[in-house]
Amino acid sequence: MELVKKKKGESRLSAAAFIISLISLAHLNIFLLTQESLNGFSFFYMLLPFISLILFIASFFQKGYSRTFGWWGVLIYAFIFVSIVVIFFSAFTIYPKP
Amino acid sequence: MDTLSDEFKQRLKKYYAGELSDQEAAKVEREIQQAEAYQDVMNETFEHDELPPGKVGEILKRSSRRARLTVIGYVVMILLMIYPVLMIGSYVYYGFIERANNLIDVSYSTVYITEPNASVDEFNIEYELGLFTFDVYMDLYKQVGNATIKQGEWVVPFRYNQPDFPERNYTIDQPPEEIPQPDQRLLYHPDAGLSNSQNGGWDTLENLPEGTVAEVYVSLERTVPVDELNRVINDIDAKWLWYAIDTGLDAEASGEDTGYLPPIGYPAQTGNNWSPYNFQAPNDEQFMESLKFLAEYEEQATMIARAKWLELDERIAFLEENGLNAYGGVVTGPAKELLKLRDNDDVRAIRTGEVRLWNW
Repeated sequence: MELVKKKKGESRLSAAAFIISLISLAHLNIFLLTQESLNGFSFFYMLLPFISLILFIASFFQKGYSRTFGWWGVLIYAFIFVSIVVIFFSAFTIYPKP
Repeated sequence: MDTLSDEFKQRLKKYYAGELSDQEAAKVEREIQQAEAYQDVMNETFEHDELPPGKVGEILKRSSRRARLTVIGYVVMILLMIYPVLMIGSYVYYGFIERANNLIDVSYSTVYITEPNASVDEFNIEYELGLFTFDVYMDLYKQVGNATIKQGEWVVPFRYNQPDFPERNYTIDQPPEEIPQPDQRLLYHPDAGLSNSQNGGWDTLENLPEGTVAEVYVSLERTVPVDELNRVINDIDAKWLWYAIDTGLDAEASGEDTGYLPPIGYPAQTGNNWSPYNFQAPNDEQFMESLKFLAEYEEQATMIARAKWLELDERIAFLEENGLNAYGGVVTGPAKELLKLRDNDDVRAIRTGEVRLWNW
């Protein structure tokens, strides 16, 4: 007979970190669709990632839970960061005015 | 594992049959005790896992809901990533190898060359980058007297790097026609036939009151080297704003079946450093550079210009062979001063454009 170590499912903190990252990603979509100035930058791209990261780190203190969503949350923020860098760098090279 | 288990079974059988030695029997008893202890641990561990049948359905439902939420989470994530990924592609496409900058240059260079007395406020050119679309917004101005007045706004939409017809919103009294008919042309080559309406330019000018300034489109009797053009208006208080250059095709462009061929020329005045016609080089040199640049984007330039064709390669070859000779252009000054051009033998016809109160 094989003994199996049971997991208790996805950590709620990790899932919360993922949901917060989805909010930031949704805001990035709205910004790209409306082409307006990046309102709420500090909230959506600084405060929320910070909260998400804290929740993700906190989820490591919950033993026996899965943290798959948390990792996806981290990947989403990495994607948002790359997107913003590429978009702003490209926009900066297009018709720079003195 | 099976061998070990079989061997243990055999020994167990012998143990119960009393066939084992005391030492072997003691060993089997120890193993039985260990197995019992293991069984106790297993029972304690999994005691709570034995659920009543009613709870199994509830757990299944909960698992199913959790799986559904997981799938929804991943689907939402993927959907939200599609548009940013495509937009990154779009930004890279337009930002890469200065594609967007070239499209902006094509847009305003076409205006300077094909729109008489038109200038663009380069500081205020705006753009909007969409999903592989690029819209250029530019304000057009013209000079009347000493004042610069706003003509309106052009929006040049590009899909990838191909333009669509520009949206032109004018705010002036006499906006130019989208595609002018031959008799609505403003400037005529000496070899082109004049339309009847062309004769009305003098009457309009004559009826303008004192204290007004105007822009007039002057067509000459013959082509004149650009540097001799000032001689035409030497006797009057006026100045050239734009030169219409003979490119070898301007005479036949008056024919109906050839489609509209816009006059090609360049500003007589020098703009600021940001303008394509700045202090860094003579305007005629910058005009030729601009033409050669536009020849690389002729398809786009033709769409942006109010033209059916531009034939830039042919025109550049003509200009390189024959030099820059003008057959007219745009002049501004006090209305009554401009009226004196009627007595000038070099002037074939005029057409009056915008008129403003005195600002000379």
